[in-house]
Amino acid sequence: MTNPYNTSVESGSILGPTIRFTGELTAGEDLVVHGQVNGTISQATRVTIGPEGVINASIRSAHIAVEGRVDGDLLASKSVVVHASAEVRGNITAPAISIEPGAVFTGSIDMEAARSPAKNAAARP
Amino acid sequence: MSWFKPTSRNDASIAVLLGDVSEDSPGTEAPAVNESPTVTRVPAAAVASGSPGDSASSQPYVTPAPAAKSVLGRTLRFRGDLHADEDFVLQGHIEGAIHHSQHLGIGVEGVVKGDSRARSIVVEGTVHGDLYALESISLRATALVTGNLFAPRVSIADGATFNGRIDMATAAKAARAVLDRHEASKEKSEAPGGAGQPGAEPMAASA
Repeated sequence: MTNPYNTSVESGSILGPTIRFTGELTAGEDLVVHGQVNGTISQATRVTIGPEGVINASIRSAHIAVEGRVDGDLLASKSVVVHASAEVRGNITAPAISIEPGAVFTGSIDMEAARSPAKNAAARP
Repeated sequence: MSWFKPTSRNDASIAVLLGDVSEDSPGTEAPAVNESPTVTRVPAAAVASGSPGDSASSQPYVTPAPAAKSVLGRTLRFRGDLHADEDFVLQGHIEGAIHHSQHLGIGVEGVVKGDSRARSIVVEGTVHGDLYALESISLRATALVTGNLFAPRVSIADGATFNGRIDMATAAKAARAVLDRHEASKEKSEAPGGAGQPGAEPMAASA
């Protein structure tokens, strides 16, 4: 028996505006969040926080794009993009970071640690 | 074979994922998507072009309109509480409680370990825990449920595996009380800043 829903989820997950998560969230593929997440988001390929997204969580992913509000650290192995509509409070660690004009960002940025993870690991015993 | 009946909602969600909403839905949604200020996707695409392998994910990232249906894909794993006021189908893994005010679907690949509360629940996947529904619970042929069912109407399809107790008599009262308590606590906790809860209002009104 085949389920038509399966075809619709192959490109990842979308959390709509009324969805509120509290806890640990792990996504293997792409994840788009329009709702609220309190806790941690990890192991995703690409995390996008939509304009209505409100995140109180640290995010670990290969790519992170923020259009909404994030209170927490962003740790990306590839890139972080903070769009103009975004409001981010936290630290960003990624080898490539772009912040569009108009975005509100409070926190520190670390590109070195992400580029040389070995050095980073040595720095933090 | 009701599977093959293409429901419009399903098509819409696929269209949103594929990013061709404007072509497929001539309704009012298309302009909303196009005029949305979030269509400035150039940076995201530019970033994605840095990794040549994933051409699929370097598609302009379509942020669906706020009304877009939620998709909880099969790679999603979650431990904790989930609150939702919109219909969705779960294909991932959830360990924890689900509080839902509308229709909850647990897809073929969905796995839930914990109690679920919703207006109506359709199970095609695996559930370890109790199900509470205001209106109905339906276990489809692919369902594997270990737990108790509380709902005024319960249907179990031929082929479904079910171990547990069913309570229809007191279910309506019990489920209503649970959902009311949930609504009340939610309103209380969100009273200071809780402006936009579109689903909460009709729920409270009808309960």
